[in-house]
Amino acid sequence: MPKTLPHPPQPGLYLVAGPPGGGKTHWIREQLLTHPQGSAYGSPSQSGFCLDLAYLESQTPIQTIDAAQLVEVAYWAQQRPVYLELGFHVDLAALPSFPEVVPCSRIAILPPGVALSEWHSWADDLVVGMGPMVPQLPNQVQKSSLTGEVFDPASLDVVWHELTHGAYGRVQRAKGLFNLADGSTFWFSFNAGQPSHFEELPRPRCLTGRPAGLSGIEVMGWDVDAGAIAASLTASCLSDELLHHHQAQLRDAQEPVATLSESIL
Amino acid sequence: MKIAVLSCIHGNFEALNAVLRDLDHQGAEEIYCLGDLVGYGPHPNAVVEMIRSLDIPTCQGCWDEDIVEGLNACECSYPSLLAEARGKLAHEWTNARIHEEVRDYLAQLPLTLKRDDLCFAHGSPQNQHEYLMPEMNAFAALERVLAVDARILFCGHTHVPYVRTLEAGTMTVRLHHTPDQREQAFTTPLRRIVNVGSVGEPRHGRPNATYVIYDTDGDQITLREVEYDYEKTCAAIIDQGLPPIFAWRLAQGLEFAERADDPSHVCER
Repeated sequence: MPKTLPHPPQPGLYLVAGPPGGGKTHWIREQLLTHPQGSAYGSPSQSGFCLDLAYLESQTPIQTIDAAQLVEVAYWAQQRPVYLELGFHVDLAALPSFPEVVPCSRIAILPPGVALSEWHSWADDLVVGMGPMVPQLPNQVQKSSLTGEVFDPASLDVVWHELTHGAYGRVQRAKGLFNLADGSTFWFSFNAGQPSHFEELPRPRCLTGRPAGLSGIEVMGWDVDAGAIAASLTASCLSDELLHHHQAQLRDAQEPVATLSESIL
Repeated sequence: MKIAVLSCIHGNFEALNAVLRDLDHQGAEEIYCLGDLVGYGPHPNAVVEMIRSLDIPTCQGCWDEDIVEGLNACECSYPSLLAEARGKLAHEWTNARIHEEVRDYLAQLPLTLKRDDLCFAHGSPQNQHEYLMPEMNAFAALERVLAVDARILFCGHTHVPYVRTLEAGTMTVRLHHTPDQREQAFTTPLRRIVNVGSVGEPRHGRPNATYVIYDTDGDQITLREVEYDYEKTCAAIIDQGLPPIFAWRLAQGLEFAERADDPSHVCER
């Protein structure tokens, strides 16, 4: 029998799992926003960078837990709510056990209408998420860091359309954090069968040099041609010369124009 | 008499053959071609040889000019960095494979063709690269038709077919720097711009080829959409070493590289 989650979240360990695109990160974001001070987040199944973490960090201040800190997770969970997001590919039966002293909730975020899945038998709590249930889980996860890259918006629009309409293979889930030529940063999110979601992140606009914040793309699907995606993305990025020229124009447009009287004085 | 007008074949031999069969079936007695025989598609030489063998009067398209003169695109040719990269790749591929006699043929093609009060041009009578978009300012559009003394201007280049009727056009010309600042107004009879779409690289959401039949007897314009074995062209694109994304876009009825969408842009080539 599922237990009721405490609200607002209490200190403890919250293991969050579910199929791709079901709304795991979205649910964690909602929890973090109700308890903005002192929550912690980690995504131990992610190798390398974590786009979800970068997205959550842009939404609210959070304490992050990296792989090296996982051994201390029990200690952290006694002090604050700790959310560990588990990718769809994680073997739930192989998860380590945590000390009895740490309250631990296993939460499955599942698309509406799912009656039976491996997550049902694993979870303490079932949360209705979003999107359709995937009959078959993706067998490929492609990740590429794009940190420092700046995109021509018209080109990125084309690549995203191609990516989400099957040009580079069958894509179930795609997300990306992209820096655009006007200095803004956008979050792109796609679930098969649904329209893409685009959201500008509240990061300071970068009008000088290359942006340092994490950006990248993650694609889950079948027979995904990572090389072709990389080629299209590469062709969509601004060169140093073009970026410098573009940023100079943006800075000029921002500078207040001196009035005639000011100029005379 | 039925006149078939086709444009923008872009090296798609399968599509050209299907259109030639269809226009024959429709009873077209004359054929005009508005250029862009080459570029993006896998069979540029075969397409040109077919057009030549049938002795079809043909204008020079922007791709035909580029393959002769070298790339010298205005910003309107490439609305994005990605489109530019793909366009250059296609240009280099075509340039490396085109036969010299084909290049010579493309070089001597005229900018416009006239048949009585019908004018045929690729982009506009002024420039192969200029887009006559359906939303283009009516005055500018009328000027393009009047400049060549035509009743109907047939064009291509946008790959999206349309018929635009310019009715009851009134133009007022004021002459400055003359003692009486004379003003002269005149009206023009109905004029039309007909975009015939694209045979080999459609952009209307389906892979089918499009062209137009103009019936001089009833002054009727009919847009034809012709199904063909586009998968054969897609396979040839990949076999010939062109980017697979070109094949995917063709199958979707999307242009290989997107074109400009700004109807107010004046081409600076």
